[in-house]
Amino acid sequence: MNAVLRAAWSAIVRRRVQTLVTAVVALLATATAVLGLGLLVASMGPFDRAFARLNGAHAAVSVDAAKATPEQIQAGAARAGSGITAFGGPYPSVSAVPEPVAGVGNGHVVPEAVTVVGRTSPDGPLDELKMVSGRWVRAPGEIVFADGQNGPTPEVGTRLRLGGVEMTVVGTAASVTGTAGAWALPDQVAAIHGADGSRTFQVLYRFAAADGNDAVAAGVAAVRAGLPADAVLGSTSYLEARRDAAGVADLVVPFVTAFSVLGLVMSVLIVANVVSGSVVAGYRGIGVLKTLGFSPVQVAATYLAQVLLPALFGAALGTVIGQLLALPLLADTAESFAVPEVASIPWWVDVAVPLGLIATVCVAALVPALKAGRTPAVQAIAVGRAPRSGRGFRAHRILSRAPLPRAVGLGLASPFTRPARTAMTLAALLLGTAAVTFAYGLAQTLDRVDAGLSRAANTQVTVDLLRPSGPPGQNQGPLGEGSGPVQNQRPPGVGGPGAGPGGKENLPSADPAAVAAMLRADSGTARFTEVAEARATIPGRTQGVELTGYGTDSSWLGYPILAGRWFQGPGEVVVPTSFLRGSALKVGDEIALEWEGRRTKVRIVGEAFSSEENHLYVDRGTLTALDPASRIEQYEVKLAPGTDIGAYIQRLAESQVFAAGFGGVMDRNESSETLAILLGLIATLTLLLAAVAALGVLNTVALDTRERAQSIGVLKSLGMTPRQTLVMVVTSVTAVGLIAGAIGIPLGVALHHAVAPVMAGVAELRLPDHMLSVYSVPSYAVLAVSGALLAALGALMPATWAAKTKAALWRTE
Amino acid sequence: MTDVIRLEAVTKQYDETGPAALSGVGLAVGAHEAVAVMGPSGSGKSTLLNLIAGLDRASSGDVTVAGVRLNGLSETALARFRRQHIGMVFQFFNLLDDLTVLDNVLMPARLGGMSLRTARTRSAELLDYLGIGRHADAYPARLSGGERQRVAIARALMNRPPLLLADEPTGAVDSATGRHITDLLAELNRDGQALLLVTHDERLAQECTGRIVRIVDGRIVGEEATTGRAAAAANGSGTAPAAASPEAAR
Repeated sequence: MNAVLRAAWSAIVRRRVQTLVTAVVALLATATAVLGLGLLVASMGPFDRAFARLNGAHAAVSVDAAKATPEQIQAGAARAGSGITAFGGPYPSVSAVPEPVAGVGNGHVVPEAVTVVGRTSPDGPLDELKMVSGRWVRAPGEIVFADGQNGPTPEVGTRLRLGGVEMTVVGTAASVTGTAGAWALPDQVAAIHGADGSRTFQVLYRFAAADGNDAVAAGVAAVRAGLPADAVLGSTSYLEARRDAAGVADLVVPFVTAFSVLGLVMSVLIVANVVSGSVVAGYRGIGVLKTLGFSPVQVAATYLAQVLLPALFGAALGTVIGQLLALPLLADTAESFAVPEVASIPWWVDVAVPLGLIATVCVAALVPALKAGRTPAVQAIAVGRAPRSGRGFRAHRILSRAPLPRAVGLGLASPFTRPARTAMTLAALLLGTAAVTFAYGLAQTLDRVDAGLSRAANTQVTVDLLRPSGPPGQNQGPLGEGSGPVQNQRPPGVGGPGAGPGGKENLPSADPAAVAAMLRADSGTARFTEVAEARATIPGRTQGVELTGYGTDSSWLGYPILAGRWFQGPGEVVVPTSFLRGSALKVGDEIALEWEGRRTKVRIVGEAFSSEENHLYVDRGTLTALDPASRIEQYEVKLAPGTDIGAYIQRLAESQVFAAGFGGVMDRNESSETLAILLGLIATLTLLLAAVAALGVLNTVALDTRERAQSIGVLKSLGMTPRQTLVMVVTSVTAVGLIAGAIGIPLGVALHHAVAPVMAGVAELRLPDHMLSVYSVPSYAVLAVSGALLAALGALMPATWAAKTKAALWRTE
Repeated sequence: MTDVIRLEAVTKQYDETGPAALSGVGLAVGAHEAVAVMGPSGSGKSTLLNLIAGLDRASSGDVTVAGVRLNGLSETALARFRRQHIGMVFQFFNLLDDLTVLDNVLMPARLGGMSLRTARTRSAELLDYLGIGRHADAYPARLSGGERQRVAIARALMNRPPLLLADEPTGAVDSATGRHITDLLAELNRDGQALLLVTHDERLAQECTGRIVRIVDGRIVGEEATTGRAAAAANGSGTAPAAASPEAAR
């Protein structure tokens, strides 16, 4: 081992607190950075690669064939200045509900409503399809289904009927953006339509700009502008598929990134503090090294090595921990369409993050290390031997006259002795407080989002009228999947010859009138409304939509309304934000709902805060007009104030109405698994950053205590008790912590206000004001103390050490 | 005369395998007596001082100071004991550089919870008595060695301790200043202040104290009476001006 490494190693062993702080800080900063950057890259990587390789389409637009010819569509796409860079189609398309062929499809899976697109080849200028099994269609009567989309994928060989045309599944294929549920030859699409079917074209587009929802919406608007009026029936954005591919990992990226940045900045501050503290404390050692023949560069290298070695160790361990933290989140990340690889953090993240951290540590340590190298030997020895005289005389003078216990006064004045060190500690604590504030706000917002989504404050109980299905397997009809009525559901009224008892439409139901009478009679019921469900298709959307029909007086249900209002009667629909974003529609627009040849137009009157994608809320009258066979499936109940929910549920469940095993009663206040994952991760990261801040304080106080050893010894010899010593040392940083709290809180709030909407955007949600304004006066007060608390926690160990050490030992320092 | 210090068979061993720093030491110092402890470096003088000040604990034997048996006291109780019963003067003054002269002197009183008004009155008397009143608002770094040692003495006397411990009080000052410090300590003793002095300075010991205890390798090897002013004072001659002395201020 050469002299530099030997000197550095001896310092590492001797200054155990600084070594530990450097290693742990590097570990925590690397772990959060690997997690943040890794998720950012890994969650989007597979999709983006597949999108590029398969020439994915930014938008799939549905055009009314009665209003625009293929020539007009091509001319519109070729318009100069439209921002359209490529297009595919027009392909004929149709929405249809597959039905199993009696006696043949038994045991085979048949999906729900699908959009069938007519293509002659899986290749094309856009949206190349990748065959997953079987082959592409060659003749009439053949169909290829999309793999893993829109419910179960039928196996090759399955026979089914679409719009009266009997077809055989010859293959399954994957579309990176899920432009269709199935593909057949173009002539077959016309056959499925039948003579009276409305004819539509699917046109795929790529735009010059498609970074976000607004850009895609602008592209669709350009398409619309290039076609005859009302020709565009609807559209689907690739961003929807991109988001689905990312799963929860996508959701955590914004706040993990924020935590990572905070962690990195804090680690820089703390490392700079560690090295400059070591230089100040080691002046005499520097002088001795120089007298032994160390060059200035060797001295600087010695100080750099003192932090680099523990930082390297911490960064290596932090990389592993970051990977481990990412595992459960990436496990949730769905495989992108047509991409066999599982999402994982790429290797370069494991290299780049630790290297970046080490480089940052080097930069932070360089200035004090060079200062050490430049200090002349004699001066270093002289400074090292001289009693430490710092600054802060005025602060000491003022505080000595303040009506405070003397130990408190001494502690409060202490930060002024080394202003630069105090400033760095203040900054670390400030960022720690900002992290705590940010985390608190995020947790509150998520809690309110959960409450808004569950609506548990407004509707506490759901009464199911349908008989619950049995355990998995028992209830599987010819649809063959799922175990519960919801999973197993087919659209009401489309049972068809193969529809067995597993279809929800065939489930026995309690008498709605009897249940309503029971609810009305119970004193615990404040209000209730019926719930019916149906499916529908919307021209231009590849996926169908779920319609939920409520009673007319249902505005009390508690759906937070972001724009517009709740529906007031038939002909009006309330939609979630995701629906508007995915279809480039807005409140006030009119859309067509179709089902089994029936079509009804509804106006979007409100944007609801809801995570139920493709779920539209309508008056039951609208639902009945579209699907006359729909029936009441549930009642949602708001309880009277003071009602014991458990007793209420028990009372209903034991009533005669449910005696035959029909339906059931559910407490709606269930916690979400995603929320639990997010809250767990936020808590973990907050703890990590709080620990980093506390370690920064620990380092500062340890350095201060060591430097002030003689003063503490003198004070002890003058009669300062251990408790007074503890108070003095802890107070020396708690005031800094309070100031950090005062500055860190606004920073944390600003971070929260920036990150929470981004997270909501990822989840296709838009946050109402009350979900963003989560900080109350009491919470500000508690958060303000958090800085001081972090400081006190960090100071406690060296303070206890100072308090417990015998006065005689201090005298020898 | 009641003893202010009573050590009985005191042994201090820092390392179980090493030699004892103090071995079977017995010592008694009267309430108004001045005693010098002398010996070569490493003989155990500072260890003896630490034990008497309650800064360290004896391995065996009894240490009783100002009527308080120190052996069983907790660290907190020892701190309170020091605050009430001990004043310490160090070779290198050990003033707190960040505090003014006045704040240094006030420190023991403020740690003990004395009101600021009372403490300031007391400190002003002490600073005037020691001739450094005009430096009350100065910082120690601006004072000469002698002035700093006077500040240290003022601080040591602040709580009216029955025992003043001085560790080489003239070791870091020039000879003229050393003489002034010597005179001051002798004067304090004449006014009744018990004094235990650890020093290498024979002249200081002779002039300030009435008795010299010699210690070698942790054992007391001899005691002798001095012939200096303190010895004369012990015999009833010489007093400090009553109005100016710290005793008068008590």
